[in-house]
Amino acid sequence: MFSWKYVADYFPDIISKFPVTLELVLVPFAASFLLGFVIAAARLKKIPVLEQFLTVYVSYVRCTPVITQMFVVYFGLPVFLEKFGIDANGWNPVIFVFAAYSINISAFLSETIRSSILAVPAGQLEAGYAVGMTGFQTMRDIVVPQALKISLPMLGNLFIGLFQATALAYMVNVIDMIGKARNIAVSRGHLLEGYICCAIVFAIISLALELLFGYVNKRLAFGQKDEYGRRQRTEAV
Amino acid sequence: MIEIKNIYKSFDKLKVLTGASIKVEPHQVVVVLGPSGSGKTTMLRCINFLERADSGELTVGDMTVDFAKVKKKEIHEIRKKVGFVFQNYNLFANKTALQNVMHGLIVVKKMSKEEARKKAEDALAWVRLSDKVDYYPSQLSGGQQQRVGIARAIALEPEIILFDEPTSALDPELIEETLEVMKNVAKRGITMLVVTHELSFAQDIADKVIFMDGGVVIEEGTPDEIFNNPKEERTKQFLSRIIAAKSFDAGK
Ligand SMILES: Nc1ncnc2c1ncn2[C@@H]1O[C@H](COP(=O)(O)OP(=O)(O)O)[C@@H](O)[C@H]1O
Ligand SMILES: [Mg+2]
Repeated sequence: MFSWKYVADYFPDIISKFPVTLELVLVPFAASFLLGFVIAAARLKKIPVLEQFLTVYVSYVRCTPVITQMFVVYFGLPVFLEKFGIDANGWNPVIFVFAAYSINISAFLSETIRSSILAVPAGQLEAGYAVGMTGFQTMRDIVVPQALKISLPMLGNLFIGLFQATALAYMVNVIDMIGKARNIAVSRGHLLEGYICCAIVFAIISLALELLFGYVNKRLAFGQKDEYGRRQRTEAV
Repeated sequence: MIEIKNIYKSFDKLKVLTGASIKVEPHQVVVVLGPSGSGKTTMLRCINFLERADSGELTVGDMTVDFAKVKKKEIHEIRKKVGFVFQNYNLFANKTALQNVMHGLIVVKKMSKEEARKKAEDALAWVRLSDKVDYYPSQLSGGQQQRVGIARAIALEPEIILFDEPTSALDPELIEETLEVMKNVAKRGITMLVVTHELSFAQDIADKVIFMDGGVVIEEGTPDEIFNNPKEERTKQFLSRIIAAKSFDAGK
């Protein structure tokens, strides 16, 4: 029978695996951020061959479910690495999840970054040139900060989406919060309680993240009016 | 000093500049007039390499380059010698008025932050915007934004500042304050090449007026020569059209 008592009992056990979930979010997101920038830059610069390859890469990721991508990496990567004499069979499964999610998120992030950079008016880059800045300096100081501001709502969605997608990692034997709940369900026969614990944690964290991204979005308003038409009180940084 | 010789520029089939030549001596103010589409903006943009001219020669100060063979490094050097004030201001949207002026001083001129701040504050005071230093562009009127744009150009102390119709995007009541600032820029002895339809500014301030049409210079002379004794038929027609439009505006 379902009992809130068990929910309370299992909570410490489940929450003790939160660092695993956190790591499953932060490592791929950080890697994807760098990779996403490189992919976006390569596609914007239209580097031959690489551009076509990346277009296919991005399409593959967008057109296939994340779970298949995870299995392809989990079962495929060892086979691939074997060809180079690397034995990946004993590796911690977390590594494969890192790789799979990095591939997935970097594709979506690169699209977001690319379209946000294109959304910054050309006059901003020209103004940088006119001031005597190099293309790189203008991208770094003017265009990219504005593009990040434009992409922030999308970045927030991706981040929260990734956080929730970590719930699939148990399928390749990673013991995160879900993996723990599953173990509890199997060993103690209470199916529902552990998952309720997970649901509570996911809901709270997702809500907190949404508030956080909303706050950062406002802080980065560059003096633009908020949704109520008021001018923001923004300080120079 | 700046000189353009025989500049050519096409966009695909469209020949926009077809051998125009222009010279601006140090401390001179030269005004360029011409109908819409005659290539004025394109010419200014080519000077700053925001557009690449197909051929011709450009001299800025002690540097002379061939448009067809210019190197990336030379482009960068020339941009540092040339200031640009845009028709639609193009202030950095993610920076306050003060940061807009400071940024180039720090990144391009390698000034210390304090030095840059002092200089930027002076430039903004000079365009009468001391009370707006911490405002973002989106919080400023068009006239105020354009004055920040002028302050940003001046602070960098370029050899010449190019102005591309700096008042044409402004509401009529904001034009005067911007022209006033531009007159002060001229009084400081800064070399200026100005595209504008403000004939009174040209009359009062310009050392030389150039009339362009169809990608070439049709006629040039002192304001008096161009406005009171234009030689070319096209110049006459153009001036009478502008004056008619102005008096129509004034009569509204
Ligand atoms: N980037 C561009 N691509 C194609 N045509 C352009 C471009 N920029 C300007 N033109 C064309 O070049 C001509 C001259 O434009 P412009 O230099 O802006 O004239 P003006 O400033 O004298 O009004 C116009 O016919 C315009 O449509
Ligand atoms: Mg123009």
